[in-house]
Amino acid sequence: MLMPEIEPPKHLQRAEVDAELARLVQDPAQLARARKIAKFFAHGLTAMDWEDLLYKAMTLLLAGKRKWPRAISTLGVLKGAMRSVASNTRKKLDYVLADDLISTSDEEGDSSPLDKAGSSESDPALLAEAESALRNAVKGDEEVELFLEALAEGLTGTNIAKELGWDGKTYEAARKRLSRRLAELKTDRSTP
Amino acid sequence: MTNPIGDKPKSERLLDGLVEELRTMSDTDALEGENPEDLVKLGERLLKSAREEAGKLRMADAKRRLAIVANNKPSASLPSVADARKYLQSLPNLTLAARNLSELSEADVLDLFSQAKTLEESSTSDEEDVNE
Repeated sequence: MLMPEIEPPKHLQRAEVDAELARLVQDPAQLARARKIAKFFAHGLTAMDWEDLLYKAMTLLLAGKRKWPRAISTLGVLKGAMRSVASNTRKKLDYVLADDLISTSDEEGDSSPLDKAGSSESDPALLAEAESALRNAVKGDEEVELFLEALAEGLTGTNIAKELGWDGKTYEAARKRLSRRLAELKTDRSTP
Repeated sequence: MTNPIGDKPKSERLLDGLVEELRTMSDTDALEGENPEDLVKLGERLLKSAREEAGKLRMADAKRRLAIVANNKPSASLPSVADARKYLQSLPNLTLAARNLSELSEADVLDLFSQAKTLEESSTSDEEDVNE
C-alpha cells in the first residue's frame, strides 16, 4: 500500500538550526567565508563589528525570529540575516541622530536591532556603501575590478572567465585576491 | 526573451555573486591567511553566546504570549517553570518528543506551555461559540 508522503516543513526547526550552526562553527573554511560576508556588511557600522553581526545573525536564527528556508545554503541564510541586522543597526543609528536634531517622541523606545531584524529587508544605502568600500579596496587591481564588474552583471564561475577571456588560472587567482581583499576590509570598529 | 538575471539592481547581483564565489571556492583558498583553530574557537564562543541570548529571547516571547493569555482570562496567572512542566506532563495528547520535559530548557517549557494554553483557550472559545 502506498503511504502518503509527508512533506518536511519549509523552514528548519529549532533543533535543525542549532545543528547547522554547530556544524558551521566546526568548519573553519565555512567560518572564514561567513567572516568575509560579515565584513562586507559591517563596513560603516560604528556600533558593531563583523563578530557582532555574525553573533546577532546566529541569535536571530536560534530564537526563531528569522526563518531558515530549507532550500537555502548556510551562507545564503547568514547573508540575509547579517544584512538584516546591519540594516536595522544603521536605521537605528539614523533614528538616534535625527532624534538629536529634532525633538520627537520615541515611538521605537529602546528596542534593539534584534527586535526588528527578523522581518526587515533590503537597505540599498547599506549595500551601496559596502560595494563602494569593496571597490575602493580592490582599486588598482584591474583583474579584480573586472571580476566585480562581471559579478554585478550577474555572471559567476566559469561564465566570468569565458566573458573576460581568461583561463582557469587567471580566474582562480583573481577570485583569491578578491577573497583576500574582503578579509582585509576595515570596519569602523576595526577588528582584524 | 526573458532576462535570466531578472531586474535585480547591480549591487544585489554583485552581493549574490560574491556569496556564490565564496561558496564555491576551495576550502584552501577560503582559509588563506586564516588560523583555522582560532576561527573555530571564535565560532564556538559566538555560538555559545548566541544560544544563551536566543534562550532569553524565547523566554521573553513565551512570557509575553502567556501574559496575553492571562489578560484575556483574568483568573489565569503566569506559572513558574515547575508548574508549567507539571501542567504539560498532565496533558495526554502532547507529542512524545515534547513530553521529554526534563531535557527541555526553561524557555522551551514556557514556550510549549503558552502554545498549549493558547490552544486550550481557542478550543474553549470554539466550544462556547458552538453552545451559544
